[in-house]
Amino acid sequence: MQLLKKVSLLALSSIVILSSCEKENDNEVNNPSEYDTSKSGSLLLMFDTQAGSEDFVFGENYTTALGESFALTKFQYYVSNVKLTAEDGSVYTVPTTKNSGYYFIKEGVNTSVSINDIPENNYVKIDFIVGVDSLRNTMDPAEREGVLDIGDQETGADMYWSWNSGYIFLKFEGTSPEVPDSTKGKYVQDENGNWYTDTTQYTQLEDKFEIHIGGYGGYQSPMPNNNRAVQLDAPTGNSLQVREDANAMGHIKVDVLDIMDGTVLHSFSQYYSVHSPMKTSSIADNYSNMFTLHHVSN
Amino acid sequence: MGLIVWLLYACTEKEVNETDAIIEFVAPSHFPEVEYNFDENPITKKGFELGKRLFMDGILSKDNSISCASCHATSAAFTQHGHSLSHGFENRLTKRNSQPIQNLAWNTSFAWDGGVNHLDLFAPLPINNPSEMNDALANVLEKLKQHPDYPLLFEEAFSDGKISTANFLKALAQFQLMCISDNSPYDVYVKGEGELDSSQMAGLEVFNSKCSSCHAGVLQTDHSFRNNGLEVQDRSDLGRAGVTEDVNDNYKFRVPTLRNLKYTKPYMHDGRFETLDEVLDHYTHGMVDSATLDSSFRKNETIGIELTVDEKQDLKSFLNALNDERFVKSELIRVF
Repeated sequence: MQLLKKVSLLALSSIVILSSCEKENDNEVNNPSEYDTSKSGSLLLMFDTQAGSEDFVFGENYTTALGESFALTKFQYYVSNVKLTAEDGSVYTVPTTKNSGYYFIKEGVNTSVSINDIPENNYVKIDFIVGVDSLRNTMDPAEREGVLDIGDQETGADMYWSWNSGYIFLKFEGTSPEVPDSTKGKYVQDENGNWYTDTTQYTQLEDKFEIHIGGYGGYQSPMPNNNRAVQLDAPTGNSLQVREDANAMGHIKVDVLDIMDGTVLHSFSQYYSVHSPMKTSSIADNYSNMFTLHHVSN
Repeated sequence: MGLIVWLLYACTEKEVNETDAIIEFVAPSHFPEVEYNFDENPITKKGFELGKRLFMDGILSKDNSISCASCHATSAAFTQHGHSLSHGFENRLTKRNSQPIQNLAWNTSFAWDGGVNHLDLFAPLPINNPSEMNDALANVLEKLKQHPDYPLLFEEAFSDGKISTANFLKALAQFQLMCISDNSPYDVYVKGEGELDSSQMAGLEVFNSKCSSCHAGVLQTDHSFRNNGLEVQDRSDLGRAGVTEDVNDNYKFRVPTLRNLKYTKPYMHDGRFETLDEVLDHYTHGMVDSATLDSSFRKNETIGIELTVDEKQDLKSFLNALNDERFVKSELIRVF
């Protein structure tokens, strides 16, 4: 993780040099250059995972507001339907197609989003949803490529419920001593198809939790919609200066402590095996607040 | 109407060679409008043939032993004949009785609980299920890419020629869409091309007054999910509520079509009834009351459907008229 951090820093600084930006402090008020809205440029969004004020590391123990210790083994989510608002009020909506406009952030593997063909402007607001919109969730498989390909083990297949057609929006997995040891065994069938509780089998592996959030609102029957809208403002006086010949970057801080904590404090003693949309809306509410546009660099 | 019909069928008097026949989807004239969007997946001969081969191929399972046809054989109207619960990977039992594959272009959702919203998206369910094929779609696609035949077959079937998720799922759907059962004696009667005998006609009358509010129309289903008063034997299977997580949907299951019951026994989502007599006895005096029991079964203080012995006999005659022999013997769609 530490290594990854260094690599991304290195990449970051080289881009900064390439774009001949000589600012010492990213957050000082930037004086925008001229722009031409008929030209377009690109934007790089970096999702930097944190645990409170600390840099996030897999396997490291963190503590929730309820005082529960936990460590993560997997943390990944979709970001889509990105919308940028400029200081002059004009809005650019990043199109969503079968293979673009949907981004898969997987901690330790891919934590940046690159968006091209954005009209030049000084953008001060970023909107997106954590998840995959309802419309795409009901489209036929030919409309789901790239990170939405449900036959791609690294992305879409890992983020899809085949028994309840729909994408998983966020996966949060790890261990916590608060996860109850199951003593009830596993409900299984004998050779004649009769169901019984086999106390030699356990449904819950020791300490392991899996929290999978999905649910796009249902197809035939209304179901919870756990897509969450996020709106981030650039730090005061700053903007993302999208230019044809420059690279604007937004550094988004993502605080994993904001998943279990927030308006509702969740306990791993209750939330350890979450695999369906119901009763998880409060977790989705919480994590919609885990993002901050920490600083920009142009 | 989103349906494209290929009106090219050229059936000659002599035996039609399956591989020479032109594949077309023709909606039977007495059926309602299709739900499937054929614009997204036009049926072609090569696509259909690829789908049929995939349907019969164990390569879809982890140890290459279980194919779709293992649990959906044509001779049993695409069910696993005689099995209450189907046997999948390492002979593990599935949670539910395998459903017939017939007239799926008219379905609004799939599986006993309606958890799948598009026919194309059905296949990942059994592929991923540890009790069925116990594999992963990505792995299946990889195996197909390494196979001596499939790369060429995909190339011939699809314009981009790729072994992709979409093409794989669309080929399987093309085969399933062609499994149309529309030639039972009842169909012949509905089209005005034949008659039912007096017992079948009497049964139709009973059916229309006592069954057709749920088993509606020419496909005998209103595509809804209902609790028909089965005693709960597997408390882990909540049916529709497993998808909606709504207690009002507890133990509700799909209202199935009643076509080809002769070939699809046993009956109910868990295959608990071996015979139609048992099924009818359940409706007259076997129901168990519960919070989600369908209100259509409530009458004053009693639950169930009132049927005399004669009415039951007539009903069975009518249900017998829903068996489509041509369908289960069709060479075109025959898998084993």
